[in-house]
Amino acid sequence: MNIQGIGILSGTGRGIKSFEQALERGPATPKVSMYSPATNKEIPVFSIDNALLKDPLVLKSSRRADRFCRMAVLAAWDALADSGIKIREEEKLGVIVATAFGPHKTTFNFLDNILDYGDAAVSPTIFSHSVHNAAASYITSALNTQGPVSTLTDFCFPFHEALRLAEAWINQGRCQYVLIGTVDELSPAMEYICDQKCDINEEGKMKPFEFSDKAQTVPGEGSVFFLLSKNEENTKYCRIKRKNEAAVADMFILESDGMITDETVYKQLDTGDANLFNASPIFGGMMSSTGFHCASAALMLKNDRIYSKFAQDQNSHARNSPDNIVSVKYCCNRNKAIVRLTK
Amino acid sequence: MNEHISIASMGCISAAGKNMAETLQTFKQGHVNIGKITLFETDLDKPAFEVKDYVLKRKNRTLSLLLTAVEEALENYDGNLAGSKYRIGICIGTTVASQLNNIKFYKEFKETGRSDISPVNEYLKGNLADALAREYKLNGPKVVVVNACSSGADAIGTAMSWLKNDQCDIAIAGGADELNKIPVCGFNALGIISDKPCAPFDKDRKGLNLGEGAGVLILERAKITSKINARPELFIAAYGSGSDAYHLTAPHPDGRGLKSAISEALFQANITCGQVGFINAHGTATPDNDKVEGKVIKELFGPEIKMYSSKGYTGHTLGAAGAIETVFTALALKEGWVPKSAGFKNKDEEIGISPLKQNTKVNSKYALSTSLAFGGNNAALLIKKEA
Repeated sequence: MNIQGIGILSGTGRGIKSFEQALERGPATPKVSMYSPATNKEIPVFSIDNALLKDPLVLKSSRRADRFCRMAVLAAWDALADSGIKIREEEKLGVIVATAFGPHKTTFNFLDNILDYGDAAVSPTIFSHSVHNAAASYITSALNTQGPVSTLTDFCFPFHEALRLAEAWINQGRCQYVLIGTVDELSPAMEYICDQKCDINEEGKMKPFEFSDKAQTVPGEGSVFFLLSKNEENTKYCRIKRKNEAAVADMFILESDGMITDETVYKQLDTGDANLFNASPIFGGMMSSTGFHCASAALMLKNDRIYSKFAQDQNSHARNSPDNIVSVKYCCNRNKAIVRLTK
Repeated sequence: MNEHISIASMGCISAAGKNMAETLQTFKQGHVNIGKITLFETDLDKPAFEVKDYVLKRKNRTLSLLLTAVEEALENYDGNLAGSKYRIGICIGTTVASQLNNIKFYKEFKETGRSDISPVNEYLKGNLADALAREYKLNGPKVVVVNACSSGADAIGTAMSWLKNDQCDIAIAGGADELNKIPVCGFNALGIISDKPCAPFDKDRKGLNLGEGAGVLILERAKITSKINARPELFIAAYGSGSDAYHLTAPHPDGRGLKSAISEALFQANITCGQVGFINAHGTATPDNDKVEGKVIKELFGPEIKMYSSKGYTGHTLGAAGAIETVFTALALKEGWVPKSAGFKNKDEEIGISPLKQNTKVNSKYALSTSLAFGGNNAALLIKKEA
């Protein structure tokens, strides 16, 4: 499949240009932190400024949408806009939203209602937004598209499963284009869970190439969407394919972002003398981070360059720009999933 | 791409029965096993369809229900999943199991800023597809579909896409959901839970009853079925889906997403509406759903089409519904009769079509199961029986 457009919303800002500029600038530490009463300390987080989630034009059919849905709608809208493609009705646009935790913040708001007001006095609006597919619903309304739509959830490989389904839909001819993306958000409860489950770097520094058995992370949130088309068409960015096994590549993105504690498994991967890359120091650690890694790969392939500040080999700007990039993610059970992006 | 997908085996559990045989008995006798909610404390005095006298297989009730349905499917399966040389995928639909909604965890966190993390650990272990993969040591594709009330149907459709796209050879597909306090409170707030047993498509319908259960199909690419030496009778002939792009909770007044889903399924199977023998409708018994769905069915298939809703026997089982009803549809095709639509008495002239009032013999090759959902998701699964 070909990537024709990218929309992205993360701690770096909104839009692929903003993401590109963040890649130029190099690793960052988050400006936002959250106080954890459990540990009596501040936890740095790569969170999205709420001011970015206000766009009356794009969100006019999503006025009641929660933060999770707004993040998804804006990234999906931007991916389509970035492509410049006007999809005709008969071509059909599919939508696949993947998430690890869904709109958990809204679920907790609903629990607030139950706890504060009792079973019979809860808000129907909050309940209807607590279902995982609310974001997909808002996307289809915003884009007025009636093609196939699905929301998938997986803790390990949500983006890979979305890619798998997109490939099947396009091959089956169910649609000519598919908007696929991931969305996950932070909340006080999720930050607490991250603090309990992960080792958080208190200085806000991601260290992706340490491959430690006590890996650290800085929690992040965001949404990234790609407009995909079939291979036969010209591509704005690059080709993308989910793979079962890692092949030879010019560059490997190792998605070591501290979301699994033991990252020594990444050392076992045969990457030859390929350059290693990881841009998570601008968006943080997320269960659904693969889409963000793929966005960085797509930009490198499109722009014929390496954002060397995120490469293990800091002198990699002297290397040839990659023609193919493999992004590898391991889960805590040591299963891995791979995406290959090529010019 | 047009390879046949056979239904190699099935299993289900709901208030209508803990397996397919019990379910058929319930349908034959017209029993409606509805009662007070006993699974959790609630201020709401609403009836629901619980699976009674059920010994949990796991602490996680949704997973337990799913395992019960899978075990029945495996008992009836000619092949062998353990140690299989084939690529076996798992695709399960749900709503409740996907949500981090543990009240005890959240209450403690809300009050003190900290909480025992063990419910979160249980939640992280509770992804239904992951749990099945661990249970049966399967390494094919696996994912959970969370399209609200069409999740079960869409999970079967997703598995079908995998099989047709050579991403696996066999798939365990279905849906599961437990009766849970969150949707009970939520649907009550929406004002769509009936105080009485639900009456799908009836002119005096007052809303839905919630239920719980699981439905599972073992699907195979036809070439695999022939290698296993089985002769399947039942097939998933086609799957279609479409979005309303209209409203988060209300169906599009003209049912445009549902029409699109049904049209896609018929087109994929290369058949006409006239070849569909009967329809297991989503039929939740809410005023909006039944009006839109009934009108679409009448418009596409005519007022004489045999149709029914099985929710009068199971309640609305949310993420499980589409899968349970696909099992019921396939069972009805196989058995040659469909149950009456429990709860229905009087025709709603605004809908203009009535579901079956009696258990009815059928002799058709194709049957349709429809699902509508929050978010404007619509799904249609076309089941085929071969003589």
